[in-house]
Amino acid sequence: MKAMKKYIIAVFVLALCSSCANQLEQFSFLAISPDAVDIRDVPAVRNGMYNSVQNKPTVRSFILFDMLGGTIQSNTGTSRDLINATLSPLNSTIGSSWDGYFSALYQVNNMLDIANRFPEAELASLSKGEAHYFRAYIYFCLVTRWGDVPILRNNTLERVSRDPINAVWAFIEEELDVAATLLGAASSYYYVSRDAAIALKARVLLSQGKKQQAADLAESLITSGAYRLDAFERIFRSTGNTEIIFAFENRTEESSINISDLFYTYGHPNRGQGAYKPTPETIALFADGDNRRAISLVNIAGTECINKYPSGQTGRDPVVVSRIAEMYLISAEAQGRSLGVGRLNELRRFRGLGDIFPANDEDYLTAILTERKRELLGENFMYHDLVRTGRAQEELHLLNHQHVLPIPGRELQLNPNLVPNPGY
Amino acid sequence: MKQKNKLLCMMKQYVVILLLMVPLISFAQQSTVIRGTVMDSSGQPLAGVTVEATDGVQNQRFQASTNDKGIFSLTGLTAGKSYDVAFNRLGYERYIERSFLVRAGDNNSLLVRMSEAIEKVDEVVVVGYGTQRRALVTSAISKMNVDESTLRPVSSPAQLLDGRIAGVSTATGSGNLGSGERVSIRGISSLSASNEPLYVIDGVPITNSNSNLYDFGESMSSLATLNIADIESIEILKDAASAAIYGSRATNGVVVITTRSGKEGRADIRLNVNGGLTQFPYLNKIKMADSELYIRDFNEGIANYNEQYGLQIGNSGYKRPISNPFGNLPDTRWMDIITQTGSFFTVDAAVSGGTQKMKNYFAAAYTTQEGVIKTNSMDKINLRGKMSYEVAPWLEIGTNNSANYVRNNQIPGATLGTTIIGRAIQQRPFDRPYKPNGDYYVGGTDELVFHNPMQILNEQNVYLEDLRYLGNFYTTVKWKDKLSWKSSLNADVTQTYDHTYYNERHPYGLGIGRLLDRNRLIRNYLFENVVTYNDKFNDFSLNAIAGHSFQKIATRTTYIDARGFPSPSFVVASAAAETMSSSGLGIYTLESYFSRATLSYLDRYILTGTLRTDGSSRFARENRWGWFPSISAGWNISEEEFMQGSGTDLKFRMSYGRTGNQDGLGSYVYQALMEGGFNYGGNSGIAVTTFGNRDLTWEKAGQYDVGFDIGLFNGKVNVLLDWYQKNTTSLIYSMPVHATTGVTSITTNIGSMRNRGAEFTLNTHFNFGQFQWLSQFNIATNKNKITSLIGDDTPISIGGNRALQTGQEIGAYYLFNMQGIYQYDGEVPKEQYDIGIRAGDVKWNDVDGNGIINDNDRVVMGSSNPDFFGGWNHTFRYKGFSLDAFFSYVYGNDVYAQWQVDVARVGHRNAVLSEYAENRWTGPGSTNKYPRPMDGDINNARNSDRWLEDGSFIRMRTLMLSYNFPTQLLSKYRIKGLRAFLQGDNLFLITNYPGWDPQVSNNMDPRFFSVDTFNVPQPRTFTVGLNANF
Repeated sequence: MKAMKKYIIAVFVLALCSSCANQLEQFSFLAISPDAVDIRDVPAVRNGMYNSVQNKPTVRSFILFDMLGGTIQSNTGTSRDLINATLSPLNSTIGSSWDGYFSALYQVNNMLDIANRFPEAELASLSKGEAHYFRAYIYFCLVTRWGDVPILRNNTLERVSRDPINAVWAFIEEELDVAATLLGAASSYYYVSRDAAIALKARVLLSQGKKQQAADLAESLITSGAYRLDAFERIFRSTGNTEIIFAFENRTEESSINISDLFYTYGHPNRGQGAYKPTPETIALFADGDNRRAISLVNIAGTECINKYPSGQTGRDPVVVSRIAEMYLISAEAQGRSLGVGRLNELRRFRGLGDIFPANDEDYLTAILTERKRELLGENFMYHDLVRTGRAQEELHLLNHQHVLPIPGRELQLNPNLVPNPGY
Repeated sequence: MKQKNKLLCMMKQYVVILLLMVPLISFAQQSTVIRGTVMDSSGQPLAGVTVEATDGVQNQRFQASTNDKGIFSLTGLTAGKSYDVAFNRLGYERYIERSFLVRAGDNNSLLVRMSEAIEKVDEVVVVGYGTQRRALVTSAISKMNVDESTLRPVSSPAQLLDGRIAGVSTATGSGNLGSGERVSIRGISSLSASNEPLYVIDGVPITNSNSNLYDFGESMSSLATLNIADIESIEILKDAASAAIYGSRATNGVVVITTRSGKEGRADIRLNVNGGLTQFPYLNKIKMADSELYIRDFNEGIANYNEQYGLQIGNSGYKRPISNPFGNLPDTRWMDIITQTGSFFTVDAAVSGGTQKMKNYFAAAYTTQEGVIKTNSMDKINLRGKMSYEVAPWLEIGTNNSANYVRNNQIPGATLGTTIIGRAIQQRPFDRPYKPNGDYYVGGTDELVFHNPMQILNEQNVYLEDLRYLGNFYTTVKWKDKLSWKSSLNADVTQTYDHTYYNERHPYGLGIGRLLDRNRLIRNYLFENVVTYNDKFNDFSLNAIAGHSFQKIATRTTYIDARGFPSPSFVVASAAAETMSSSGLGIYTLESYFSRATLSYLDRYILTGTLRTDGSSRFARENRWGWFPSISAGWNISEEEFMQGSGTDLKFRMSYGRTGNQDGLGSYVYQALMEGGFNYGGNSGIAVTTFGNRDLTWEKAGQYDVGFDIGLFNGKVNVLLDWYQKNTTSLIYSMPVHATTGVTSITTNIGSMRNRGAEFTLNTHFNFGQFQWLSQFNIATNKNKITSLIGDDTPISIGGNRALQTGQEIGAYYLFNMQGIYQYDGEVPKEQYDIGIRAGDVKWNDVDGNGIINDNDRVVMGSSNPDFFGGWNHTFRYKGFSLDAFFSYVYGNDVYAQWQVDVARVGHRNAVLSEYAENRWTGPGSTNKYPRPMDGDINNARNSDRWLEDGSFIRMRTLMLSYNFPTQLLSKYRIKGLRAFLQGDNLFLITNYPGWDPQVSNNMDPRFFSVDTFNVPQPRTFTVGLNANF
């Protein structure tokens, strides 16, 4: 018994001494420290940037200008109800868009830091070019929503102030120029190319009323031969097409952006929560001969729904950022009635409609905007189109202050240096 | 055994008795005998009862004690004399049979029933890493004995505590089976997510994570796996002096659960069988408008809209009135369609016994339940084996193992898109679930507004399966009863499987069937060594422990999302057309050193000190270790000589201690992380997810406690009184930051707060001959206040309706304040008129006076915390009958009745409350409370005090009638005890709250607590059962 006692105690002591040394240092199995990023990680950081710019702004950011543009309505109210309900500093879509764009910007700026840290890395130069494009893309989204916004060339914890809108536009143009010099052709239209930078710049210039430059850039893409108008059946059904200049691939397993879910109802085989549907006026825009109609609209159990994103709840669909039809419309609008109407009719003919010849500039602008409603429905254009052309008040019954979005209430509370947009 | 006797010696009554144990000689010529049996209140024989007969005239004393059949015989008494016969036993009320006339011969017999003492001063209390006599306890520890009279048909032990202990409040997510719970001990001590106390079961700090792996609309209790019938007692370590021994996780208090064990010198077989019915209570309390009323108001809302915007038939945006598409068919009773009368059946059995060397306990239990919502059901199996073996006088080994299994067929909770009550009660009254051909009407389309609740329930197959092993193996080495060393290996291993299957006909089934198949394995291992030292030096006694522990918790998950099944018969991912999967692993470790010393002088003056230090992997190396000391002192005033014999027990206690909290923190929260999974184009990508914070450190709480334990009239009345103040500093919080930083929150030490409160418990125990009346009343109050926060004093808005602000309490609401209804268009400020506000709409308090209602106009008001709360229990016993009536109450808490938001919107597309529909504003002066019907209203449904309701209530928690069959009758059948009972739970509720149950919440986080979104109320339960002992 004595011997056993000693033996047992010895085992105890041994067990006690051998336990738990260094077990208090635990590290994630899913992550690395940002300091530990090395030259081999640059491609992964690049993919992370694409993923972030695609996902962070959240789904409604990709149709916000439709929600505010009078072309769609919620399933319970009119488009005017939807606009009034959305344009509030407490609205969650407004808040998550703001948060999401800045969250995406953080990853973009981080990409630039890392690419600058490892200039000799594979893809470093390409990644930089893409990052400059994304910065311009994000700021285009920000400036067209909130007007003056803080320009963040580097990530910062400071409580920043808003920069004037002109400085923001200048920053966007500068970023696109840098991007264009660093970028060339892309491996597919799911990656940013030099053409994508040019297409976005054309849009940016048109927004600022720099019509001649906008027309020149749009024409350069139309005449380059790299892109041709193509059928909606190919553009919006993930088939090879000649239209798209840049789109987010938005693969099911990589994405939280499910636009289709918001448009389809539970009556559709693919299911959707059916939060928004086209207004009767939008439905009426599509003539029988319009070959865009079947892909733009679908009748689900008696309700017309937007049909451009086909997956419903079963998956995700690519989100187009730029395609050549927009260049036709930019060119047509920027060149003015006499020079531009040709491009407009070219597009109309391709879509199965006849030529038109508006009698005056007002009618011409109306025709352009109507064509944009048909062509770009559900692609995040309308609100900005109406605001930049001065038609928003009349068409959408907007109050003066509703021409920009409210800065989210949360952000105003947490950063007293931000001045709210008046009226909210 | 020796030690046990020593303990007994110290008890007052026994000291007296032992002094008098000098054998007394009988002088009398006619010596005679009293024989008898002593039983407890349930009719079980009581061993070890000291029986003492006193002859008042000659002051002679005679003693005997009962054997394990409860039988005694007192010899040497004089025939023809009267004696007072007193019965004493530890833990039981002293019983005296006065002036018992002893006759000559063998016929003197006594049958005595002794009742258990409640809150007896000399009970033994489980403290951290050991037990202590109540007399030596200097901190605030409350004990709840779990027995037949305190059991309720609930799935989690936490729910047993409801109203039982002063300062402990509980709530459940809903009345669904296995729903998550919240236990709050002395208010809210921390801001970080869980705020739950630490649960320690038989010495093992368990993991208590949400059982749900796929968020099915409510959190699920991980404690629901446990067998409640196995629990002997629940101790609540309330103050820091008692909890500090658990250091870094003790700020929110500690719940110590002790399971039953075999008792020396006994062999018992326990068998409990019960079953019953459950009901959805107060179903008709929420009254919805019928079709006629609904359509009238809806069309008024449309007319108001069209008129306001000048719209005529044919105009763009013109809204058309509706009519009942089903003509004169009767309205659908939507709630009747989804509810049912639930039922349950439980059987549990235990075999226990022990000798001096070996004690064991084996138990098995099976429970099956059906909830009050169709398809909600739960099955539970629990097994336990416990054994200890004294190999040699210096060596004991033992083990305690429990295996538990739960399968819970869930229904959608209140925050899911298919929330079952919301998808029933909110449907328009004329709509119906089935088409004439039997097909479902599909929700979210023009034919039905919301998801069809029958489609939800019928076409899903959703269940949780928990397999949980909880147990330990230990060895104790002893030296001379003074020193012992216990080394144990403890484990809490839970395997959870969460199966969420939507077939192709379910709204979420994607038309092709979808399975979310999730597995989680949590391994929680604890290796612990504790050295205990007991000694006496003259009048001083010392009890000391020192120990070391190392705990490692590893969590491994596998998630599969499978889509596309050939038919609903295929339910595993391999049959799916497409699968996506992910897996995870996280490890968290904690190393601790702890010690405690209790020094007492003649049981009069007691001083206890504890010290613990914890090192956690959740903090950076330089901030890793936290120190948690405590000191407490007690004065047993009644042990002083001047109080001797007064029949009064009086103890004064005071304590101070520091505890920590690191709960609700991510495992790697201090580290900046660049996480994987941010893929694009089928290639892996990484992105920064957190900035990290190496300065992050322990949240610390310092708590003062002053208390009195008072026993009056020889223990007939007991009072416990405590005051405390708890100051938490370095509050850990995921602090909201401006989004331009790239993130929306940073985990940091943000500020400090204070909880102050008092607790009062009154126990009474009176005997009126055969009739006994026992009562327990408890009441507690707690005031929470945030004393500092990073930055300035402006409210930090959190969630949709709360704010944190210095000077306010956690759980304060941040809402718009209604100031009535605009009666005339002229009263509406221009800014509001422009966006469509008119007479009949709600007038909000425009705090900054700029005419616009925005974020600056919200006001911090109300609170989800009560002013006071507690419980009141009465037990009446007469012969074998016993009646228990238990009430719980809460006063002064506000509940955010968010369910009203939609159903109070008159003129909206969902069903409306008839109160709002009938009383709607129709013109100036008609009402100042109920707005006009308005389709597309954007003003009236704000997060506001319109939905803030008084949540005070008194609940008839349980009413139980039981009968103990007489032992004599049972002994023929070799049954030691048999008890039959009828119990009603939640029989009625007195409250102003307009909903079903103010005690449920869709969020258990104290910051967002008390939000009711049509949560299923706690059911009303009727139970009938039998408890048998062999």
